[in-house]
Amino acid sequence: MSVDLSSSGLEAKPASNRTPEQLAARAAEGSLDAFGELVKRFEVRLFNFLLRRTGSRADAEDLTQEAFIRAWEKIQRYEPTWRFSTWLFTIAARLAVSHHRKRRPTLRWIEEEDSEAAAPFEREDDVNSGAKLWRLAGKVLTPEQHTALWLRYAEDMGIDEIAVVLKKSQVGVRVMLFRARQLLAEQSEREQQASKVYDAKAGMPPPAMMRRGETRGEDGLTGSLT
Amino acid sequence: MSQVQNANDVSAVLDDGYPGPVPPAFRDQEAVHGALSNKRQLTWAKPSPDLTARILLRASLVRPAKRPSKWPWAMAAGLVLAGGLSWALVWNSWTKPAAVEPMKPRVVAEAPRPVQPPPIDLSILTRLPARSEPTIMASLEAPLLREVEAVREDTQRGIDLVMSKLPMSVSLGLK
Repeated sequence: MSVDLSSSGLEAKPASNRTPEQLAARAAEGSLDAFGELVKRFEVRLFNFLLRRTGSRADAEDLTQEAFIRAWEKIQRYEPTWRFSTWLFTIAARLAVSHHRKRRPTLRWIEEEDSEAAAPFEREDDVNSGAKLWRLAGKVLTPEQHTALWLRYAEDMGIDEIAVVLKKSQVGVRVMLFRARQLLAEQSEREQQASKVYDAKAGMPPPAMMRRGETRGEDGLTGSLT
Repeated sequence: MSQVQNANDVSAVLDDGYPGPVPPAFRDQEAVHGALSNKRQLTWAKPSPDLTARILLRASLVRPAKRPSKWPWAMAAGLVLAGGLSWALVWNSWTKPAAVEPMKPRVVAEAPRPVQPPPIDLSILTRLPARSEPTIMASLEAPLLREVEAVREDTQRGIDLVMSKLPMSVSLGLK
């Protein structure tokens, strides 16, 4: 399983056909070129993962940089038993946790809404779209639930890999994903109902989408005291 | 069913790809799963263009740490194990009294020596001039006779002592 971002233009085309694990083995021998290739392949993915954890572009970039430097420093300790991405995301998750402890309250990343999705309510057939659900996830899920969901669907990680990254048991991860999906389904259903009411009372101002205490900030971020 | 059981059942189908239907009560999760699995709906934010260069610049300034050798750990573990074992043995010997072992039967390596008879002066048997019977008898009996005489004297002395305390000692005529 691998995430393909090449079509989105966000990820540089791989300079070699080597797998990340093979590149990591070469990097462990001291090859900075191999490590550079790993940086290019995982930079966007790691940045997006950390962006959802920190809620700030600047912090996410700092942590991305820090995570790669840590990985480079400890590359000799990488065991090919796990995928390189699992090892890298574990380092990043630990950094994000320590960052979260230092900085409270944090801003939570809400998916940027394009012009169409910026409307308060989508049409019924669009309510359950992935983009809509990711926006909801940024609002209603705990950071840990959101991370588990991101690793599962954006990074295509298996339950065992998510458990390693989050330092949880596999059952704990299953329960976390179950609750996250349940919350999203319920919230989506709630908004769908509200949308119907809004359509019926055309012209009435829409009910507040955001939870109490949240304010919209720059770069599509929503501030929250959670 | 508990929530953990529900989570396991739903997760087995949605996350592990286990063939089978999702329990009817959680069909809405299946819809969420389907929507989230659509990668094109995911918004990927773009980091600063110079991020890669910054990372590689920093990486070029630091050197990867060498893989720690396992030998020091193995040695430390061995020492700890040996120390623990020694301590346990010493502690055990201090806290528990030494066991009393039953005595083994003594085996004598040599046969006991025969009892030596008392020394008897047999020279008289070889001294020819002293071989006459009266002389032999006299030499053999003399110590006995002296002893008898001593016993008789002691007895007499005792009788005298007792009789002197009694009022009839004189009239009995024992002397």
